[in-house]
Amino acid sequence: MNTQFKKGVLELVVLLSVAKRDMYGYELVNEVSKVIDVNEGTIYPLLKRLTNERYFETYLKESTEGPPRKYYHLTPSGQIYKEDLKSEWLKFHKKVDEFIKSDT
Amino acid sequence: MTKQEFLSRLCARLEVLSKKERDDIIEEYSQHIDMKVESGMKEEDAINDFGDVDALADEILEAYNLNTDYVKDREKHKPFEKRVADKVSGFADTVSSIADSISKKSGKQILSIIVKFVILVIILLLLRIPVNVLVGLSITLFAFLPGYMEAVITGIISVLINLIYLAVVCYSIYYFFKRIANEDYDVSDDINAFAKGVADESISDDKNDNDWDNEDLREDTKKKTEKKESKNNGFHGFTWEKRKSDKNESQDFSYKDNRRENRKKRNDGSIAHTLGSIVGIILKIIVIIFMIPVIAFGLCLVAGLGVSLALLIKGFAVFGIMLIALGASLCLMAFVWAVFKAIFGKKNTPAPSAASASASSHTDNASDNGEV
Repeated sequence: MNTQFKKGVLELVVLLSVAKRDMYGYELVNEVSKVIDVNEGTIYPLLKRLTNERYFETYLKESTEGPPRKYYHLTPSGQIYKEDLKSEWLKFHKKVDEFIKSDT
Repeated sequence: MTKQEFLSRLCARLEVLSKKERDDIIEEYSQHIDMKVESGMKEEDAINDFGDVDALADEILEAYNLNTDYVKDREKHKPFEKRVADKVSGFADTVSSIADSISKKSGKQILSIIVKFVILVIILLLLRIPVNVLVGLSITLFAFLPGYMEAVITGIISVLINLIYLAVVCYSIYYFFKRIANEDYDVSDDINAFAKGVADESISDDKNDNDWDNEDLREDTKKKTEKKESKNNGFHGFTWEKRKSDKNESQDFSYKDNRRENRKKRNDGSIAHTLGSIVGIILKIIVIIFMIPVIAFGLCLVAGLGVSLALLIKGFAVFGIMLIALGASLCLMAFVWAVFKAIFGKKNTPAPSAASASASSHTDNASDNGEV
């Protein structure tokens, strides 16, 4: 898949995944990989940026195995941002779809 | 790249961030790698999934709205001591990761590592012989120079040669342990690479400069076997010639396969390979140098034989000396022939196995005699 496509949608997919439930990094990578074939090298920096922009907050939670994990949680402003992004995507998607159909 | 190396490189690139942020990032990445390894992935693959470290660091820094060019510039303008310190700490990280992985291994594995290490040391000590020969050669080469100049030049050369040797030793030991640190890697490959390198060398060399010779030899044996088959009377000489050539060919095939596998196995094991090649070349040179006096002696014996023959014709009865000269020269010729065949022949085994091959051919002969 086109890497430019991926980059644009990745943020939305990450936001939607964390909106479902709080997740830690590795879990999130696996979740996102179901939709987009993406490497970890791009997800973690994105998580960092979303956290820095206060859309995510993080907390540590003990795990049964290994050290405590860092969970990501969607903040209220993240919630708003996610909704904005989603409706933006849907509008954009609809327009592109219509354009493709008018072409054929 | 090991996990330690990856994390320390990443950490170095994120130097502008506060320590807390950096530790947080490093911890997360380290956990991620651990989890991937737990799920059955190789450490190296898990790290490769992150892509280029520098690109990754750039992306992280972008998340903080930092100008990555500025960070890169800082990297470039780092004072020399700082860079050296970074290198040293990187080395220390590697060493500690090696120690880590060794401590994880079981007693049996450790024992096998020790044995392999001893073999490595022996090989390196053997490498010492050609180094000494080289130094000795250079000393005799410059013996004609006047007093102090000779001393200076030979001194410089011997120091240089010894330094190269030291570098080879250090690097191969470092490489050996680094290989051990890679847990999924079978260390025996390393030693095999060394041993194979020696034999490999003789093969590839033969291919290059003695191809025509091989062809001739092969043609020869083929003709002989054909003759033998047409005659079909079980003449022993030809019988074992044929057997030998058959053996050679099968050996050669299996060898080529081995070689191919080996090549596949060690994409980055070329250091051991080149080291093995160097040892092979040096061994060859030594054998050739040692053969020169032997050949000279053989020629002297032949000359003596001629003289005794002339004396016999003139009427002096020197049967005893003549017989001794004849026997000794025949023995020497056979020996020289065997050695040269071992080095340059199609067979890629070095001298010791040539001896065993001739021994086995003798037994073949004996058994043939028994049969006929």
